[in-house]
Amino acid sequence: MIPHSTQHGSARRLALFSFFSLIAFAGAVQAQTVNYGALEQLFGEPVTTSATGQPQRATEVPAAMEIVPATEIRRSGAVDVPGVLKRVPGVDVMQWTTNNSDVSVRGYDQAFSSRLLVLVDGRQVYADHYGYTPWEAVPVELAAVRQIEVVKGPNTALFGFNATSGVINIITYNPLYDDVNNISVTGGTQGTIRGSATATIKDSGRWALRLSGGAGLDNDFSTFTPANGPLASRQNSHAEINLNGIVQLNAHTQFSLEATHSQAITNRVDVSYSLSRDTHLTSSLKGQLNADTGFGLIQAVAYTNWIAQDTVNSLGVPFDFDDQSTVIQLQDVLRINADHVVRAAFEFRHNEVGTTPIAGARIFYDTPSISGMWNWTISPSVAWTNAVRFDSLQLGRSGIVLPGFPFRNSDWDRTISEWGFNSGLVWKASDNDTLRLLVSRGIELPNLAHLGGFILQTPFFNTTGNPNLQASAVMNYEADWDRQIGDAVLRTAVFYQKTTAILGLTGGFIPGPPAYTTPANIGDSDAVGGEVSLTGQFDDHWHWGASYRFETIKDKFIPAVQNGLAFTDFEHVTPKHQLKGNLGWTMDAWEADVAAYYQSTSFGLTPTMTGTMLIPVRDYLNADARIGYRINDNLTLSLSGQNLLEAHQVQTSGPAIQRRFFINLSTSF
Amino acid sequence: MRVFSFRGLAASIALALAAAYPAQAADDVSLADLKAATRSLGFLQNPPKSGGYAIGVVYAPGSANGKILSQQAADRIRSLPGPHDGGLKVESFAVSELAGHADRLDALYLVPGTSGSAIADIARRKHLLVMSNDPACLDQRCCMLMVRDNGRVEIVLDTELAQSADVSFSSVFAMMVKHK
Repeated sequence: MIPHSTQHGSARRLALFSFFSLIAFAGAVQAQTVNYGALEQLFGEPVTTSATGQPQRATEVPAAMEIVPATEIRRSGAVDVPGVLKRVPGVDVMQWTTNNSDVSVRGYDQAFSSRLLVLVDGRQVYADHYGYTPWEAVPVELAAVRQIEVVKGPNTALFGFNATSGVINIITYNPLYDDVNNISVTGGTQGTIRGSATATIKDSGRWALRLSGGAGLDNDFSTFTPANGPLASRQNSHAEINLNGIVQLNAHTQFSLEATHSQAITNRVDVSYSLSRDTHLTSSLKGQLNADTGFGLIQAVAYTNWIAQDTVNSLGVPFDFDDQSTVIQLQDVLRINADHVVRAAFEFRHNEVGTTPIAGARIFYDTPSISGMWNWTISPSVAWTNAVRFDSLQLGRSGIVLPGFPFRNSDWDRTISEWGFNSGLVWKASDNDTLRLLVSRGIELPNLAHLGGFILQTPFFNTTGNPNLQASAVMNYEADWDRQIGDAVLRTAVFYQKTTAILGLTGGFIPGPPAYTTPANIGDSDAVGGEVSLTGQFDDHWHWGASYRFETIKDKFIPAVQNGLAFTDFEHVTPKHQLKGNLGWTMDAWEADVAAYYQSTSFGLTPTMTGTMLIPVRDYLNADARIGYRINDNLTLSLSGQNLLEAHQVQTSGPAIQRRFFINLSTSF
Repeated sequence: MRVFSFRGLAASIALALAAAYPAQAADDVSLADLKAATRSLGFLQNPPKSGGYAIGVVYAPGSANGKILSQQAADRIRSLPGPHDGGLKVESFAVSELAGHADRLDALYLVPGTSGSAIADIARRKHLLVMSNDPACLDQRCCMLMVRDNGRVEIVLDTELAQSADVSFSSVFAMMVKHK
């Protein structure tokens, strides 16, 4: 028998030998990762892996999906990702302050929107500790983004928990294939100053490195009084850096390493709809190996995210979360024969957070999962894709238990097992018509705060997370029809969604003494809706788009939380009608774009002494615009504006947002 | 004063038709078709070890139209960038010259109407990728990659024929095209 230490040493030597052997055989570039640029150029349309894990043309995916290319991102004039998403049909954006927005797909938007999973190049930037995306701290520069992929409807079968209303995958340029060198400076109203830079260096396709970073300052809208406490300030700031390196190990294998860091200090509307002041510090480290083998496309990914959220709420109460997530993924996508492609994947996830504001304990879970996908090309015009995923979450808690606390650490020793699936039938009925029938089940996990990360004791009330929460499930049934009409594309969808065991911030009560309120599964919700969009171009110089979404939601909550009493209401907060339109013009060195958006009268939640109440939010119409002039091949000057139709406008239950203008000088080299 | 002449008119019409004919013929192998075909080369698993791709644009012997098409297609390919910033070396010749062709070739492009079992045999022997924009070439088993762009790019790969010629594409490409 070989001694353990010798085995260990041998394994390490073998790993080192393998690594350096791969380096030694480094060769010219062949595409193992998806070369989005080359494939888009070949097929004349964007490509994606965000629907099934298999590379596919945007028009062939078994999902309702929108892809926003880099050109549209630039021409939107937006200074952040939510500003871009505001234009996308079916996407809801609640802008609370200059730097804080919550985003969802097909309604169900709320403060700390939890149903939309957000990723950058497949790495989750969604914060598990409170189930939201801190958009202002996402470490990506818009100039480094190739496309933003928006999947509508659940996609838990591919991405796991929290891909319930949809997924946004931000795809950046691959430094090995794409030279992106850009410096951009922006100044604007509200004291806005922003700078961003991206640089790529490479060695004839053997390796490449991209460094991007940015920073910015602004003074928030003057429509609110900043939260209490020593951190009270109207000024927001953010800074981020992203280093992405990739090595072509041999003709069939690539290895990439990404490190990011960001800091954002922002006024925001918190989960209780109160104004708060947040500092987010995020870091991540990710390694990824891609190989094109005789057994298919093999991908191994490992990453860790660190997110520290320090918040002072409107009562001056500080709470500090330190969220750590580690994810290990292994997947193989294999074309078995002309008609069948399969994907098999394994994932292991470890998440943990320290309790706050009463520290001294940690909530954690380990989640192994397996998933599979089968894409069957039944005939040249019909394809059927089925995907399924099973997660088994093992919850735990360690650390102090306060006197009178209603739970023991052993109460966290439980397993939450859930499965999600996606099934999509795509029928290309004619050269111009595509029909999709989609059924899917997505899972929203209780966040770590809900599961016990949040403990507050005061002389007046006590609240704690609850280890007995169930996951919430979303079933989605959908029929889509796309039709090419000359140079225009018509896209339609009708959907029915049933959400069960919705997670609420309150709703549970443990009688004392001492008594505690807890988060709870507060009931179900049904949504019915339809979307129609039309996009096109004419006269070589003009492009346009228009979309309309109708959606009606019926919440079936327990009495204690009905009508917004306890921080959750989807029925009244989601607008029934949403209209968006855009028009763009290009001539020589000039380009001009305008985007308008309208939503019907709805309600918003606003805090009370005991919870929240509904207040009306009148229907509104507003518009963003940008005009750009290319001074020379490298230099572009642009003027853009947001919320142009009114100086102040109430769009949510939060502070009114204000008109903004930006002037931007951007150079690419 | 110029005098109207029927002979002059007839000659003008004849010249116009002659001029128009190649243009019409060239539409049978459009620039868009050729762009898609040459871009597909970038996904080959075994690219040339040095230099750019050498492409033979092939036509049926004795076909005057085929020869014109072939020469025009070759001219158009020369104007295109090769994959990975590599160049494209292109020549036009008849199928009958293929067996005796001495220069290095990486791929053949068959203009419509070109067929013959000799093509597949030589492709197998010389490990050549054979492309065309003519779907009939797949049925006749003369080509392994049909690439055309009629507003929407359509790519069909004959996997069996490609394997027999030891021609393979990246898995990503293979997953995104149709298979015969």
